[in-house]
Amino acid sequence: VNIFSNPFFGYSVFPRYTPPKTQTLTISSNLTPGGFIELADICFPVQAIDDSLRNDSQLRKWSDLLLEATQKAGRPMDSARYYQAQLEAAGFIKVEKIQYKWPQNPWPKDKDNKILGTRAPPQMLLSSGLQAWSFSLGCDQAHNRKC
Amino acid sequence: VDQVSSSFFHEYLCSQDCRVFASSAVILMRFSTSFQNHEKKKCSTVTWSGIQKALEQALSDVLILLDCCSSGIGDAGEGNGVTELMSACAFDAIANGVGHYSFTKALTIELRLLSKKRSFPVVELYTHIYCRAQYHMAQGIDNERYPAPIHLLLTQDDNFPRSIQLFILEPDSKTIANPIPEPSSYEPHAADPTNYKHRLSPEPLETSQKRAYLDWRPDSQPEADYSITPYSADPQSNTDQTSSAADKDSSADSLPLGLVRTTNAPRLLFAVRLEDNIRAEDLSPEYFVDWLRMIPTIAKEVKIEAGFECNSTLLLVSIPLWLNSYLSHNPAVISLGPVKSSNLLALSYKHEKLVIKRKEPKPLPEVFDDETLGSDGSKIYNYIYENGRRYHSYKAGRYMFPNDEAEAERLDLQHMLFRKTFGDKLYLSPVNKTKHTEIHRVLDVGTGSGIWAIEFADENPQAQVLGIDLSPIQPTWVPPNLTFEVDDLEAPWVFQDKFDFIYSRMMTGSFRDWPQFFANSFK
Repeated sequence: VNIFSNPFFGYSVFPRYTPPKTQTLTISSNLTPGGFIELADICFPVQAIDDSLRNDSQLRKWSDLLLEATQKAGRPMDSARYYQAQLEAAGFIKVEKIQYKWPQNPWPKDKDNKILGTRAPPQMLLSSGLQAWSFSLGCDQAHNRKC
Repeated sequence: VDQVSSSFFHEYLCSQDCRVFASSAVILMRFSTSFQNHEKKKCSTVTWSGIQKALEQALSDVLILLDCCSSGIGDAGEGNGVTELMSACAFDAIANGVGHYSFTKALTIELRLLSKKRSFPVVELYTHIYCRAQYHMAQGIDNERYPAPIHLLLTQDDNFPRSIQLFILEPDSKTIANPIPEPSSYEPHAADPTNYKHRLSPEPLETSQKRAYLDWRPDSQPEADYSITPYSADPQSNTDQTSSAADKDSSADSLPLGLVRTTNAPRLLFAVRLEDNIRAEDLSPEYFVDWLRMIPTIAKEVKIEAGFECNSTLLLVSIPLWLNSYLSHNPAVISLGPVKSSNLLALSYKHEKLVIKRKEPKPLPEVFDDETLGSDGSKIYNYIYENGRRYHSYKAGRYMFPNDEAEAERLDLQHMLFRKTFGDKLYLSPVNKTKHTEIHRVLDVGTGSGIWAIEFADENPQAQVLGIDLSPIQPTWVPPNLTFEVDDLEAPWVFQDKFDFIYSRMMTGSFRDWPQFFANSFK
């Protein structure tokens, strides 16, 4: 997978939830009434701010495979998609969701995004044991299933 | 004294008359042993062994209180009912002298205190006396000694195993109207046969309660009457006893189970040396089954305090103090003395961020099947290496990312990216804006290298921060208001205190059941 040659911007989407106040009479053992929970997470699959991310692109393929691998492992990496509903189901109120974009290459003109884009791909992808993920898809070096 | 007591025993224990107070009897004896040693004169002595044997064979339950050494006579195999003995020290020790620390003094005080209860078992009295007798620090007085009082079960009733239960005799008009001349408070007036007979005569069997009493008087409390009875025979058995009767079949014998629930009671710590070298992970309840069977207690009361390697394996075990006399002797068991808390040094590890579990102590059989015995930290550092990457060992395989140096660097870089994304903020929730939303207890879920928790703790000195992760890869040099613990947040949460801010970052791919995590957070 060589994602750096793809001529488009890819963005990870950050949902962020902030339930400001829990006005509940439930007997709480772990969170005080009025307490907060904050979650910051990435959400797969990779998305683009425009139509530059084609369906047949290597990045899209990699993203889909990674999501599939984590789903097979029982810990899907699109869990953030459901946080809001799950938080509300658990009883949290005033759940707030803020989305941020993470550039995946160093081309943004904006200085901060340029730094993020320079740093995000290698840190996200290259050093976190991708091999383990690949195994959960049934990939190995002999049978390169669809990787 | 010998003559008086012998005649008393002869008259009351061996004659038919003793059926009048058939259920039980208390024999209170006091021998001034401390004075004998100074003058080398020949003192009159009591031949105790014969008396004790007679008492063991008495028809009633007998509680013997000795303010001297016990003579160490065992069960003669005969007798009816229970014979229990409490003495100031063991037979091979030197009894304490007369003073604030004497056995009788402790007995007096504790009986007075316990008299507020409706009834209490002998072992409870013993536990209290033990605490009081051991309470004093040596003050350098001559002949000052603090031997541990002992409690022995001389004979046990096989049909109905029990401990003698003491209760207060309700003040009776006849009793009060019948004052007994009592020259000295500790005179064994039980040895005054006429006195006893006189006291007993108005009572027997008229009330259809077979109970005997002994008007034993602590010096400052002239009207307090104490009597004893086996608690089965007590028709007014209190709720404590009825509830304990329900538990009875779950216990190995019928010890007063009310005491089992007594908290803060001193425990006896002893070392058990095992034959083999047993690694912590190999320890299993089977090693202790035989041994446990010999202790008439529920396994819950036996606590493993620590384990060491010492050519073989040495375990520190504690049991309630009152079980001492029921414990069988074994050369592998080394008594260490009484303790009143769990291992204090182990608690201090908490502050060194090496805590593996902060769960409540578990009953014995469970102690060995969990990772708990690795609380010295060895097990959690037993990392797993695969494909050149290092992975966590506590609940191995749960988290799919490595935990090595490269991963810690990735997490720190990731932290930088998040800070940059959020405008250099550590969090976005509207906390710490006003006094009202100031946060004091923070949970960092999946703290990783701990960098977020460290920076948060630095910025918020008022908050106590707890960072949880499966991997103990956090630095040890951290702000004082920050603690790291190795734990699994997919297991049930057992935190002592509530949090007012739970922070979870980059945990996607970590939890199997997010709704459960939110439920744990919310409840």
